[in-house]
Amino acid sequence: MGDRQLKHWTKSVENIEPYLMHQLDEVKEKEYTDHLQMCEECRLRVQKEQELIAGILRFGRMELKRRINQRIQSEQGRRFDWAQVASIAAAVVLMFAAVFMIRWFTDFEYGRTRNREIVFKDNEVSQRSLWITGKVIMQPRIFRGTLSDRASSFIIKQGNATQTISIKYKQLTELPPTKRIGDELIIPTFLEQTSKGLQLTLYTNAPEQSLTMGIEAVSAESLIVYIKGQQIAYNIPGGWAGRI
Amino acid sequence: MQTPFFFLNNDSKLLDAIRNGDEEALVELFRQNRRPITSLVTRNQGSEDDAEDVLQEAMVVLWERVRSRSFEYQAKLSTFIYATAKNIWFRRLARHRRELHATEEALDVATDDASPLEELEENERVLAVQKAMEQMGNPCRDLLLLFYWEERSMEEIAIKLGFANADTVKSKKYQCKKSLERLVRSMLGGSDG
Repeated sequence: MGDRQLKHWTKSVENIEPYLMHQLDEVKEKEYTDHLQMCEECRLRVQKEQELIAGILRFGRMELKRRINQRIQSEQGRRFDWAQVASIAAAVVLMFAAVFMIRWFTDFEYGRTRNREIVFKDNEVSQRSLWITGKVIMQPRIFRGTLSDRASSFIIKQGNATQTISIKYKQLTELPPTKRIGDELIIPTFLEQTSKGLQLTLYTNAPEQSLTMGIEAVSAESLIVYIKGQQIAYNIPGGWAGRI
Repeated sequence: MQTPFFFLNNDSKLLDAIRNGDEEALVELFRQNRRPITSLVTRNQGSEDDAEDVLQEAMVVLWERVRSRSFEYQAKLSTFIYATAKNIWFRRLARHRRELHATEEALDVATDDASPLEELEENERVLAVQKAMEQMGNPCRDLLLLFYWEERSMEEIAIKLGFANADTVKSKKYQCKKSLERLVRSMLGGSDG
């Protein structure tokens, strides 16, 4: 192709576009490129077209980038919310479970080694039933509350609130094997919310007919169960009445 | 050889999705490649935001290559994306004349030149064209994008945009380009001859 013919190729956009978009064969592209080196006017025309196309491409890229970013952000937002809810829920469940388990097992451990009140934490009290094990405190004391032979139900009044607590006992032989800890001084208790109120089931090795049971609310937060001169003190921070 | 097969299979699905214009495939690829690219960029003076931006640009490059049918599937997509992102990041670093640690990674990509069109990115008139495109209505905007950016044929554009035939598209494209040039001229204060 002669120089004269080449001079005209930039006058038509139809020629410039395929050149810029690399749609020409290699030989032709090289001819055009070589010609541009010698033709200032042609070079300017090509450059203008090149800038126009570059601007369109830039717009296309930026728009696609913006759309990708938008999708990612909205996805992250959705995922973040879900993850946040799930992690909070999991943390709450784990916290409750951990506290419950720790207190459960520490009750057993402490019960073996030292006298103490059995302290129910709030979250434990919210359980509808609970195994507790406390050491019997072997101190005689003067009863200040209601005590009756084989009494099975007591009403405790704390201010305006009342709580019905019933006690029943079972022989140690009835104690589920998993709860047997082989120490006679340890009296496992099963605390349960029933339709009538709280029920404490105590396991003892005393003959049924010899059992005398009593219950006393010694403070807003403390309850003592008496079994034939023995006593088990339970404590619920915040009080017994109306707690379960 | 289960793993490579899985990747090839997964890649081909994503490539098909991109060919069909499904941008969700890019989001999926973004998710899959986020960690290595973040690691690459943050190891080389960049922030996590830089990494996100670079990865998005790599997605755009992939999209352009696949849609213009110039993408050759020679390695896993993740390899292509990593190499592209690395290239983009180091070019950007070099442009901003940041001090580079003389890593082999940097030297490795230094020879990968930008195309002439990419070199124009920051040119004033190019930026004006980009702005003018933002102001253009449809069908001109879509038509110009389909023709120049996605390199679709007149016939394809006619079908996609509901024109009677390729000749109608050709004539419309001419009008659209003229409108775009007028907009650009007005933006540059009439200095654009």
